[in-house]
Amino acid sequence: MSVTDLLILAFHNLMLHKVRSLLTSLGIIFGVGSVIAMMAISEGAKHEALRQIEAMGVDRIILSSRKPPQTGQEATESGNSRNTYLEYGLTHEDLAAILRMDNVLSIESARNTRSVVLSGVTKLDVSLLGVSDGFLDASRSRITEGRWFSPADRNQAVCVLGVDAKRALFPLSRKSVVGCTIPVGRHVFEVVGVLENSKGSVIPGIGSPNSAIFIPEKTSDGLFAGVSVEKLSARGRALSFVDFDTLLVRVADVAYIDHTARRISGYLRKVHREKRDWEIFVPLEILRQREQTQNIFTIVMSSIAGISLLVGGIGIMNIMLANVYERRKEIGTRRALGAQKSDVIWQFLTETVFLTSAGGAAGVLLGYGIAEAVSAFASWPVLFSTDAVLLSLIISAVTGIVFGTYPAWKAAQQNPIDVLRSE
Amino acid sequence: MSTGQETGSGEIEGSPALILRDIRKSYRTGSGELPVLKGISFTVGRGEFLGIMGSSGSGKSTLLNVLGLLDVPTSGEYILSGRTTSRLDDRELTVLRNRRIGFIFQSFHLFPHLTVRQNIEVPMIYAGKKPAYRRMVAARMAEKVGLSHRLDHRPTQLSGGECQRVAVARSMVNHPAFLLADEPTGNLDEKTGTDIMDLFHRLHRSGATIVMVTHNPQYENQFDRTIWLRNGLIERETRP
Repeated sequence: MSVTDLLILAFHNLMLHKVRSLLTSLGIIFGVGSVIAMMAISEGAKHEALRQIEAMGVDRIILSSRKPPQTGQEATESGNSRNTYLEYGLTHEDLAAILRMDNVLSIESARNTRSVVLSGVTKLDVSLLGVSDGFLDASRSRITEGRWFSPADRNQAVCVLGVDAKRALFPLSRKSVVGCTIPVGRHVFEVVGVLENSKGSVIPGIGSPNSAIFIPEKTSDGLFAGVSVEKLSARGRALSFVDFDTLLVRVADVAYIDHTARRISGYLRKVHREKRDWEIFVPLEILRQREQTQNIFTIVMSSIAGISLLVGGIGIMNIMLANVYERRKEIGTRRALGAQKSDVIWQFLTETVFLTSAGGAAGVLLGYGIAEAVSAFASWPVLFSTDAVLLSLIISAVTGIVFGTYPAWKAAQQNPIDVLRSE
Repeated sequence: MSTGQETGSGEIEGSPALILRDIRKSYRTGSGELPVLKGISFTVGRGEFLGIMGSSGSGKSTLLNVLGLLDVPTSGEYILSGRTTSRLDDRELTVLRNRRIGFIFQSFHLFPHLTVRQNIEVPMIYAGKKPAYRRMVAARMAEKVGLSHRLDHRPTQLSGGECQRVAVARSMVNHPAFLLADEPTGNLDEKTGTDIMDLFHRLHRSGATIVMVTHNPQYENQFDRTIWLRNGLIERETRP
C-alpha cells in the first residue's frame, strides 16, 4: 500500500466523523496551543530582559552610589534652621584606585546634580547629569542632532539633551534645538546636541540616558561643587555630597570580568567599611543568572507540555481503541481482501498521526492567537520562535505514533473470520 | 499434477483450481477437542461451478474459512493453484488470498464511504497496483457486472442487487483462481437473487471457477456439481 493511498484513506476515514476527529484532537490542540503561547510569552520576556542587560554592555561592571540608611548624619544648627549633611557614595579616590587595577581599561563617570528642571512652573522628570567625556560611548548612546562635548567645552555652560528630555523641554519644536538655551536654577545652558539610546538602557544610579540632560563633568563640579540639595524646608536644608552616582568600568578581557568585579567589591568593602553606600552590577553575571532561571523555567514548561500531551495522547488512544472496535467489520473485510497486518497497522497509525499532527498545527495557530491577544491586552512582549513551532509539530506527530501504535496493533489482530460469518 | 507446467502466475497449466485432501479441523473447548471437519477431500476443476450445501452445524462455515485461507486446518492438505498452503505463514496466506481468491460475502461488505469505483479498487491497492491501472480495471469490471453507470455512486445509493454486483466486480479484479461466494443471494429477494445467479452463470460460461456455499437447495440444479456436508463429512455429491 503506497503512502499516497494511506494518506487518502486516513483523510477519508477522519472526514467521515468530522466532529469526533475534532473532539479527539482537542487535547493536543489545547496542549500545543498553551505551550506555544507560554513559550512566546516567556521568549518575549526573556528577549526583553536580555536586550536590556545587553544594552548595558557585557564588558562592563557598573558601580552605583546608594544612599545609606539615615545614620551617621552630621547636623549643624544655627538659630531655628537645622541643616543636615550627608556624604556618601563613590569617591574620586575610589575611581583612581579602581582605574589602577588589572584588567580595568577605562572608567566613565556620571553624577546627578539633583537639580530641579522646570518647564514653566512644571517640574520635569528629567535629571541633570555631569558626565565624563567618554560617557556617550560608554552608555551606548548616539548623537542624533548637533554634537557631543569637546575638550573645549570643559567648564562651559553647554548641555546635550536626551531625546525624551528634549521632548519634555521643547514639546512643540519640530526643528533642531541646537543653539537653544535652557535655564536650570540660576544657570543657563546652551544646547549643543541631542543623544538617543535606542536600546532603552536603564543605568543603575542614573536611569535612562534618554531622559537626562548632560553637562560636562568640569562644568558640573564648578557650578554645583559636588553638593546636591536633597530637600529644602522651612526648618533647614538636607544636603548630600556625592562624588559619583555611577561609574561605568570597562574591562579589557571579559573572561576575567568576575575576578575583576570581586576585586572591586573587595576594595570597596575595605574602604567603605560598614557604610553600605555602593552597589555593583555585572551585566554578564545577571545575564548568566537569567539564563539559568530561564533554563529552570524551560524545564518546568516542558514538564507541563509533556503532561498535557500525555493527557491528550491518552485521550486519543482511548478514542482510537473504541474506533478499532467499531470498525472491526471494515478491518476484517480488508484483511479478507488481502490487507496485510502491516497494512492495517499503517492505516490506523497514519490516521492517528494525521489527527495529532493536524491537532498540533491547529494548536500552533491557537497558541499564536492567545499570545497575540495577551500581547495586545497586557502589552507584554511576545516572541515566536520557529524552533518552538517545529518542535511542537514534531512532538504532536510523535505523540500520534506513541499513542496510536497500540490501537493500530490491536486492529491488526482482528480475525477476518469474524466478518465471514453470515449475519 | 504430474503433467503440470508452471505459468507466470505460479499456476500449473491444466491442474485443478484447488485440491483438498483429508482436511480436518477441530476446536479446543472447555470439555476437550470438538471436531468440526472430519476428513474432507475433493477437487475443484478449473472452470467448474461447485456448490457446497449443508444444514447449519454441518461444518459449512469452517470449510468456507479453510477454503478462503482465513483459517488453517488442524491436519490435511489444501493445494491452491498448485501450491500447498499448510506451511505458509500469515503474510504469505494473505498474499495468496489477495491474488488467488475472490471473496463474495452474504452482506456484501462494501465500504460505505467509498464510491463504487473505489470499492472495486480495494484488492488492487493491496496488490500494489498503480492508480491508473486500478481505475482502468475497475471500470472494466463494473462494465462486466453491468454497473458502468454507477461508478461514482456510493453503496448507500445502490440497491442490494447492485451492491452484490459491486462485490462480484471487486472479487475479480486480481484475476483469482476461483471466486468464493458465501450465500451471495442470502440477503436478496428472490428476483434479485435470480439476477445474481444469472451473473454467476455468465461468469462461469466465460471461464471463471466458482465455489458457492449456500443452504438454498433450489440452486442445486444450477451447479456443475454439489457437495453435501453433514456432521463435518461429505455426505454425497450430486450432479444435475
